[in-house]
Parts: sequence; C-alpha cells; structure tokens
Amino acid sequence: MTAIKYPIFLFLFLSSCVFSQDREDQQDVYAFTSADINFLKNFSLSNLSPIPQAPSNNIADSIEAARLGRALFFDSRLSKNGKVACASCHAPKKYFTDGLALSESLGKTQRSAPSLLGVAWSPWQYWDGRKDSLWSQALGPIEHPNEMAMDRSGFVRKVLSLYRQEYEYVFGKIEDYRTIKKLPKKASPIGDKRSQKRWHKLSSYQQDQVNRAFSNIGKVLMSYQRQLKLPASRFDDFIDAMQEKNDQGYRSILSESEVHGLRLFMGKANCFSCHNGPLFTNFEFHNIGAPESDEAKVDLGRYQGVLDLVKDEFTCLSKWSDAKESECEEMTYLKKSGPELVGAFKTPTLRNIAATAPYMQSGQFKDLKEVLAHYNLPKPPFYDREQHPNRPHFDILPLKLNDKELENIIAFLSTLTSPFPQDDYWWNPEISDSQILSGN
Amino acid sequence: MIFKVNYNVLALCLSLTFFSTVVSAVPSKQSNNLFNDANNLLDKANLAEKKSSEEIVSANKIRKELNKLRSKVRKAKDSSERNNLTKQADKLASQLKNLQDSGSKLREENKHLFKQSLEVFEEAIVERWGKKIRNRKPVSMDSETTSFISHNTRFRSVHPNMLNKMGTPTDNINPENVNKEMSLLVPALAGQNAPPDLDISSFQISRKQQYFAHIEVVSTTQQGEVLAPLNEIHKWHLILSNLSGEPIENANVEIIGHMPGHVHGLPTEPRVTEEVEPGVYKVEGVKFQMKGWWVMQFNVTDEKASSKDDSVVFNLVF
Repeated sequence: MTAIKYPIFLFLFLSSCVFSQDREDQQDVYAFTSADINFLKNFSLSNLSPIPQAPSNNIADSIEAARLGRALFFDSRLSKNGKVACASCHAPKKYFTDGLALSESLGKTQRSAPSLLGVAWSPWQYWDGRKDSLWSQALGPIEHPNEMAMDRSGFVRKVLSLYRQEYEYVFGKIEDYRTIKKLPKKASPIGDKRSQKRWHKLSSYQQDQVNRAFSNIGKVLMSYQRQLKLPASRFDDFIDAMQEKNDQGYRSILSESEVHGLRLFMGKANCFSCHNGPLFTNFEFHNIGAPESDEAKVDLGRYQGVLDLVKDEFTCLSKWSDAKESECEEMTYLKKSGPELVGAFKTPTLRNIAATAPYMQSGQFKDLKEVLAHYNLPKPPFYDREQHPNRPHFDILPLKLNDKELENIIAFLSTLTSPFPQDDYWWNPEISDSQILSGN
Repeated sequence: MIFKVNYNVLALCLSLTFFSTVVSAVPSKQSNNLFNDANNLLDKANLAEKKSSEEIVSANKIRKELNKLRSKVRKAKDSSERNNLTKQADKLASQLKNLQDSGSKLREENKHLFKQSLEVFEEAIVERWGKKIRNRKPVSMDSETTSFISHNTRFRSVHPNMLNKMGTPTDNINPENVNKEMSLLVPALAGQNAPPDLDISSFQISRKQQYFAHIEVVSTTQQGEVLAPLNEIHKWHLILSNLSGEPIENANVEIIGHMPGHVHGLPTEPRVTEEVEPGVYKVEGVKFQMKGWWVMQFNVTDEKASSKDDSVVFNLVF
C-alpha cells in the first residue's frame, strides 16, 4: 500500500507546485523543470544563431578587411579635429558605448551611443533603424557635423593616403589613384553649403570614385564589427551548467536574488516579450513611452527612420551594394506606414546592460533603477497633435512589482555582463597586428 | 457503439471517391458539375440567410407589439379585459417563439450549406486547376518554431487617462495556455487565443461572393507542403478564380495583415510581384514576426467585376 501511496502523494505535491501560478514563490528558486531548461537554453550564447549572411558586403567575413576595419575604428586622425575615432563613443572597455547620455565628439549627438555587440544580427541599424546595414551605418558618423565632421572627399583621400596598401590588399589595386589624390579636401553631397557646391562641381566619374572608396571603407568597418564576439557571462554559464544532468554545480553560479530576478524577467515582468533570444532583443521597433528629452522637438523614432531609409544613398538596393536586388528583401518590402512606427525605437540588447548606463535612446534614465521604475508604472508616450502624425502606440503594461522584486530583476540583469576579453585582438586595441592568432 | 457506422461520413467518402475517379477521367465536365453543385449550395445558403434575416426582422416587430400588449395587460381596468389581452399576448408570444426558432434554424442551415459549398468549391477548383494548387492544407508554421528573436508584445495605443485601467502582463492569462511542465510562468508564451471554431482553410470565398481564392506558401527548394517560417521573408501564391472556376486575370491586389487583439500589422509590406500564370499571383515580402492568430486580407480589384471593391480574408493560426 505504502509503495502505491507515495507516488500519488508525490504527484499531488508536484502538481500543486506546478499549478500554483504565483510560481516565483516556489521554495527552491533553483529548481527548474526540464521544460524550463529547454526554454531557458534559448537565451544562452551557446545557442546564438550563426552570424547572418551579408549579401550587400562581399568582404563582410574577410579577416584582412576586418583588420583594416579595426585599424580605422581606433584611428582618431580620421576626424576633423584629429581627436575622435569610432572607438571614442564605442569604447571596448565600456562594451562599445561611451557611458554618456548623449555622445560628445565635435558636437553633441541627438541620441545615445548604442553598444556594437550583437549588432550584426540586426536587420536595421541606429535606434530608429535608418540604415539597413552595418557598412552603411558606419558612414553616418564620419560626415555628421556633430561627430567626426569629415567631408567625404577629404575622408577618402586621408584614409587612402594612410592605408592604401591595406585597402588594395582587400579591394585590389586602385586603378586611378591620381583622381583620388586630386580631389578637393572638402566636398560632400551632405556637407555644408560650400562643400556641397564643390561636390556638385565634381564629374560623376569623380563622385563615383569617392563613393566607391567611401562605401568600401564602410564595408571594412562592418567586417571589423562582425568579428566582435561576446564572451559567456555568468548567466550563460548558469544556463549551460544547468543542462549538465545530475550536476548541482550550477546553483553556485547565480545568487538567489539573481535567480528570482531571472524568474521575474521571464515571468511576471514580461521583459522576455521583447528582450528574447541569446542577444536579449527581438530587433523590432517599439514605443515604451520613455520621456521625450525635448517636448518641443519630439523624436519620431522609426517613423522618421523609414523616411530616411527611403532616400538613403547607401542601402542594399543602391549601386554601392554587392547584393542582387532579390537579396534586399527587407528594403524592398520595407514597412513604410503604420501607426506603430511613430516614436518607436529598436529594442536594445540587454547584454552588458548593467555596465552600459545611462539608458534609452537619449539616455533619459541614469540607472537601471530608473528604467525599472518606468516599466513598473509607465507614463504613456507624450503626444502632441502638432508634431505627431498620430497618437503614438504604447507597447507596455504596468508591472506593479514591489521593491524587492525590482531589486531582484536588477540583480539578474547584472549577470548578463561578459568579462572583458583582455586577450581578444578585436576587443583590445593594444594587441598589435603581429600578435593576431591564427584562426582568429 | 463502437461498431456504429457514421453513414454521413461514409456517404461523403464514397461521393469524394466517386468524384475523384470520374473527375480524372472527364475533368472539365466534372469540374463544371462540381462548380454547379457548389453554386447551388451557395444559392441555397444565401436563400436561407435571407429568409432567416427576414424572420428575425418580423420577430423584432412582433416583440415590439408584444411589449405594448403586455404593458396594456398591466394597465387593464378589469379582469375580462386583462384576460382578453393576455390571450392575445400569449398568441403573439407563441408566434414570436416560432419565428425565432425558425430563424435560428435557418441561420444554422445557412452556416451548414455555406460550409458545404466552400468544400465543394475547393474540390472543384482543385479539379479544375490541377497542379497549380500544390498544397491544400491551411497555411501553418513549424510547431517546433520557438518565438525567439521575434516580436511578441501586446501593442496598445492609449490615452494617458487609460493608464489606471490597464492590467499587468500576467492578468488575464488563460490557465489552459500555460505550459504545465514549466515552473516559470511566461506570459508571452501564454498569449492570445484564436476562437476554437475559427475557419483556417486556405480556400475562401470573397466577401461579395465574386471570387474563390486559395493561398499557399511556396518555395523554390521545397516540394509539397511548405511551412511559413518565423521572422523570415518568404513567398506565397494567391490563386484567384471566379465562381465558375475561370481565372481572374490582371487583378489589382492589396494585402493587409494584422493580429486581432494586438493592434499591429505585418512587419513588412508584402505585395503581388507577378501573375505567374492566369489567376496565379506571386506574393512576395510576407513576414511574420510572431506566432499566434493572423488575419490576411486581400483586397481585389478586377476591372471586369460588377463590384470593384471586394476582399478575401484568410485566418492563420501559428
């Protein structure tokens, strides 16, 4: 009799645990079922899908191109004042951010510098997705008057004078270097009036020479960014260790508070809804009602991003792209209208989030506590009939969590920080080219 | 009980077998017959619908009269007047009940006949169009697909004073949708429900009954049933015929997709890129960013049609 009773008792006990819907209250916070583990393993970096193909960039996965891209990324000579490089706002030590609300280079940027880790997986770049590839994105800051503030012709001349050999190694010999050398220092189709005037005086042949080299430079910067790998964080170690059967070692990797936070993240707080997959983002555009930094000049987010994309000169469909038209489906079938675009921004990755304050598109929240406070009791998006084409959507629901729960979520988020890979050539600019390991 | 034969099912199977054997021998005549049958069923369904509507209108008139009579009964001065009025009211009540019963019966009949007509239309178009229809099953997604790197939030557009009326993400979770084997309660996985009796067939008739249409996912590398991928742009075929099985050529098609209850549309703007064969339209740029219940509407404009604005709606459940 006893032998029969026990399984029944055990079954009832187990089902009462499983069916109790306030599941975060369960006694052993570390006790995950195999269905839980099956679900959670989708968040581990070990399950990250291969890097997406990049048909618009033929040299996307060339190591030589990435090495040149790395050199350019850290080279501050390539900015107007000679003091700003890509790495100034995307510093490896700060997980490729700058720790500022708005970046400061030659001027102040409109938005906060996002991390570059995992960006190769996104079909759209920038907070508003106004670029459809990493190579096209890389060209933006170079000419932006508040960032590197270079003129297209001068930039191309400078890069080729400093890196001609490396460039030719990747792209083959420059047939007509004389044309490049003779270019005016300041000519650009999007520069100031004088620079634009000079650009329009160039022959279309000259313009093409500049644009070809300019887009190629974007492509090597993209190749570099595709080499940036995320080292496993404590969270990844925890999930990977949990899959080892009969091993309870995983319990020591995360604290109780962190595991409570993990349960809340996936559960009651619904963060998982948009921050999903190993990169903790769906790369979609949402409006979570983060406050406007300037209510007199609202940020239309994706709505404006789409307008910019349509007239962008360096998309997958442009003559500078290496892709066939049929390979540019995201651009060809771009969603150009819909009320959900207004004020929507791309879901950022939560990898290294605890180390990359401040937060949101213009750094409106100084720490994770402020972010969580917003999610807990959010204000719907600011709406101004004069400025918005329609009332912005609001994509979140209040969480109504208590202070302890919020603390636990913050604790969990800190487990997503990868250790700085000191010996990684791509992360560490101090490692010299000759030290590059074979097979890297 | 176990040995009881369901004669209806048997009859349907036999008739289908009959159709398919005979149909392959004399295709055009058989498909014509099938289209005739389908149209007859559709006419009957429409007639039942019309009658049912008429009866409901009459029933509503009677209900108003009945209410007036009942009020008179309450105000009656003596018992004889009250009795007389009550008798009249009872008579009306019984008429009302009869009309309501008959109306709802007709409505059921309409539903049944309509469903039957769609089934016969499907047989007819498959017979007529042959290999152009490669997959008759509802458009589906691989059940193994998990919602990772996909979008699964609930979109809402709210006025600030709505804030207090909004629930939390874990309110209103249907316990039936919760994975009982998980100790984690994941609201995004226990998302929205499609109604259980939702028609998810890939064959549908247009709103104004001008077209019969079919959709299927197509691939250049796969044969047979092609599943819709998650978060990947893919291609469809939209097959458009009139109710006699003739292809609708050179139609203008607008595509609108949305998720009921999510207030958001597709993440792309799919469109018809080519009419690959008469009545067979290639649709490119389709992408679904999440699983769940999708509604795909094709607004069809055909110069030759009597009504220019017509649409065909398909429900998909992933």
